[in-house]
Amino acid sequence: MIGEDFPAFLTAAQQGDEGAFTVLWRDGNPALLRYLKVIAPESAEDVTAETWVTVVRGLDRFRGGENAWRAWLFTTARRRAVDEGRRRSRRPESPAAEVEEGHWAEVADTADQVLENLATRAAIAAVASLPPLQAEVIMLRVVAGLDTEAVAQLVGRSPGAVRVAVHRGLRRLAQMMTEAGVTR
Amino acid sequence: MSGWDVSDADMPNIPGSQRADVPELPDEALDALITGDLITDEACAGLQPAAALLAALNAAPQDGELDGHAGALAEFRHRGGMPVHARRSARRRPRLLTSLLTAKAAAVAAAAAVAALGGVAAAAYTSTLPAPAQQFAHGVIGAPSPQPSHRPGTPQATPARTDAVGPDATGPAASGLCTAYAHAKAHGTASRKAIAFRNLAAAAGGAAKIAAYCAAVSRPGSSQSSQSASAPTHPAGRPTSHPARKPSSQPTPHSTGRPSSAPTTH
Repeated sequence: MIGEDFPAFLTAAQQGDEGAFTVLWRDGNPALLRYLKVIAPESAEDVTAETWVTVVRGLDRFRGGENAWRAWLFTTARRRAVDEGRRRSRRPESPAAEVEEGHWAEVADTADQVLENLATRAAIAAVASLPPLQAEVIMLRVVAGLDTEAVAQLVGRSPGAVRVAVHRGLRRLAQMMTEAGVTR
Repeated sequence: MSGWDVSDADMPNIPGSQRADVPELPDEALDALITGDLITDEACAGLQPAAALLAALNAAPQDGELDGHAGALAEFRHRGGMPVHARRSARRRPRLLTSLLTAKAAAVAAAAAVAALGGVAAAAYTSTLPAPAQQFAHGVIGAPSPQPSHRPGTPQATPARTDAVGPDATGPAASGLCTAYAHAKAHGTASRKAIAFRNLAAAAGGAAKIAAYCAAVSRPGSSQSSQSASAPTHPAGRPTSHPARKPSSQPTPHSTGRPSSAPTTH
């Protein structure tokens, strides 16, 4: 999140300021990539790049604050993934298969530090092993930083359904962590 | 935003009969998990072990996650140039040229040269001309100066810049990140806080360096911007190699960093 300076960066970017656009891009790109790795794992990089193409082309017409901006980014990303038929439609054949033994311990060990690539990859893989709706709403709430209402609108569900899906997914994730010996 | 394409695949895989077993998770409980705070709601206390995993989900940008910057920036530079508007505006450009040049009698001779070059206007706007020609186009038709510059079409909105385009360690970007975190810490939701922190830690080069980083950074519009010679350098991914001079076009219109007419946020 950029915060109270967001309107200034947005305005400057709309006027062509590359530095301001870079601020917006750096703020949004990692979150977009992580989200897309969950909902469209085979083409996350491509869809992320296409998302920015769409966003750049619509930049002048965008009006709104930072919450609306992030909702637009992730709405665009989701559309690109859906349009191209690249969205994951079922859970992976082998859930968390990419998460090798021992990685869970690293998730915990590094949680209080600047986190290692491995921990984030393992965490993304764990979320991706959940049923699609649970995985998606967790990414949108946690990584995209959208509130429940925005997530509900984005995935076309009621806020209550979103909260239930988040709860269900988090239960499973907590269970995974507990089984891996992570207690805090 | 309506008409979502919601497929059956979006449905939870767990049979609906279990739905009653899992209540809605209060937003506060998720916020606590995201920030690493203890969940006070006992009904949700069993989720606590997931906190470490959520922290990993929100970790600072990592290898490869900022690789697409060049491509995105290229798209951004071209948005008012060739691919998006250009074909349209290129047709209008000669008329614009004519009227501009008519008003500038001294440039009449130059006008012939420009017109003869045909696509020169478009080329000038994408800054692809050799520097002298670009400077010429800059002077005559308001195309960008030879150095990186503003978007075509709104020359009056963004003064032509001939110096740094940021963001750099002393510029508005760093200030924005520090401000965002301070703001999120004071007022934001947990997820906002976590994201602001992640961004700031990445820019500062580590969570431990944040304090020093923000101490060395001034707010946009502050006169100290050009004095922070000891400020930490921007991490990899810095978009330009320009010296850290104070940009001539601050994104913020006045010294508080708050635009006087901010779009509404909800």
